[in-house]
Amino acid sequence: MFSPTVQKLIDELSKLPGVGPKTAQRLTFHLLKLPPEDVLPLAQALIDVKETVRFCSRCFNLTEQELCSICLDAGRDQTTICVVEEPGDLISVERTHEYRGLYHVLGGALSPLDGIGPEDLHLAELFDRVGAGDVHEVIVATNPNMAGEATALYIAEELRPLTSAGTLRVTRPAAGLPMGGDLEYADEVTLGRAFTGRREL
Amino acid sequence: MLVRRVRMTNLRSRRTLEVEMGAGLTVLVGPNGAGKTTVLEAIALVLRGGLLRPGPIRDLITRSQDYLRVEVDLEEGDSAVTAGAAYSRDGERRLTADGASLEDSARWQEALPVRTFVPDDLRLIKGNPRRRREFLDALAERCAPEYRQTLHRYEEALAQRNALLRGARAWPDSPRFAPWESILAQTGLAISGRRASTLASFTASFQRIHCELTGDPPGSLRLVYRTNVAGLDEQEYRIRLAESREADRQRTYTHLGPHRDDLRLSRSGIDVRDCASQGEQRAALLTLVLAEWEGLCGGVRKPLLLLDDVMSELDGARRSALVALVRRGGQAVITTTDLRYFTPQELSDCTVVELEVE
Ligand SMILES: [Zn+2]
Repeated sequence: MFSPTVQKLIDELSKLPGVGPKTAQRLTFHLLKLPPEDVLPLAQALIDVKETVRFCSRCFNLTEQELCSICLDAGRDQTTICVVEEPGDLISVERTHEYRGLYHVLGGALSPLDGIGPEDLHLAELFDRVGAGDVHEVIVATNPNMAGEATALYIAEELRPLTSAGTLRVTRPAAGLPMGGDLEYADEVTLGRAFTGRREL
Repeated sequence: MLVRRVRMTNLRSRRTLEVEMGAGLTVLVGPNGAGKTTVLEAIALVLRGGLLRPGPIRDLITRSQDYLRVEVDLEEGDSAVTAGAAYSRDGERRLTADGASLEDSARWQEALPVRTFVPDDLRLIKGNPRRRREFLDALAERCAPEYRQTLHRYEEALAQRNALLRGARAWPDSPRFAPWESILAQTGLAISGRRASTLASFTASFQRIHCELTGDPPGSLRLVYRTNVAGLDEQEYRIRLAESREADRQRTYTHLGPHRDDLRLSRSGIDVRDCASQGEQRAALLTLVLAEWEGLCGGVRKPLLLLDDVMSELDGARRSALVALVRRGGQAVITTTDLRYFTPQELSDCTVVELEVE
């Protein structure tokens, strides 16, 4: 078998999503063959990202400070929150230049089959934000697939008391996004148009 | 697309056999054991990737041999292609198009759908309701291409709700049920509505063909769509699901919904599974197969119809009705032990292939 040091690297790499034991082994051998100056920057980048990057304490976007640059931007519309599944989806929405409000990153979508319930997502924090602040609209831009759709329905239901009272709108980007798709892969024009024509949930 | 020729090696009792097919109806005649049904099996094996009846493919291989091979020469206009399939006793399979390997038989299923009637396979009539739902779904998809996606959405939401029922945190008033139940209500009603309307339009040709083949008065055999969501609107559906959470949790399974639908055949109000003779059940099966096949004949891709030993099922006067019906469609093969089931006129209009016991 491999030496404990080599085996340790294989084990660590195989914990990554989409990396099986075989790939982990291939990556390990590849890294072993490289000169140190090609490998150490990777190690340093891993350390840096873990030491400096964290999740925004308000919206769970990626940041190097307590709050992310969007939460800190006083020029953005503080009364609108756009809910997305992952930080990558936030980037996609930003790229459309159609949206100037705040965000809330859930960290996934509801899926009982995968053991993901409301407590595994940043839903409680979202409801706290909406309950506490001066929020007029929540745009639920979870992925246009079933888990994203169910998550949107869940959010709409939990916020129903506020929407019924007329103090809040809960909306979803309009149809036109490819069903079953991933927000991250929708093109900017389509996504932008879906944002302009959003419907009430 | 037409089947021109079938060549087979090591199938059942036949070491080698080659059959030329006509463009319309081909009658395969011969005594029992001559390999008539084997020719149909060979065609189904290549073009559909499966057997006519349930069972392992290796049972088809001649006893002393290690493999079987079938080649089907196909023709479409001026172009020709040979579809091949070889199976070994240890389960290896090789599918080919003009010798080049194929992943599966999807290409042939797309180009030349095959429909079969095998008298001793009554699973569609007597077996699991899932077969009849699949039968109905295939019909529904033909009139509404988006139906398949609705079905997938329903099944995914159902799997999610069932996962919730099995979970520890699924107390019945939990808000985590509602999103899945709302999707189930929406897609479930779409499915059940589509199945009902599909069956309504299918019923006309089903009734007509049943009369032609049996001589029974119209309406003597009825197709009945059974569903437990009949008459519900979306809101009532959601309420019923919510009310059944506790009971469903104990059974770890969702009980309301079109995944439990069935398509029943009834004679004078009684299920054919309980009252009809084997002959009547086979007539019901033949009617289902032919009515579905007839709908397919109206499309772009003409199906190939394989009818095993069908003439002995029918009364004298009804045999001509069957031959006339079959001749209105595309290419077809009927196996028989006795040419006297056909009139001289019918025989002169079709291709007759005589098979001998080897
Ligand atoms: Zn933030």
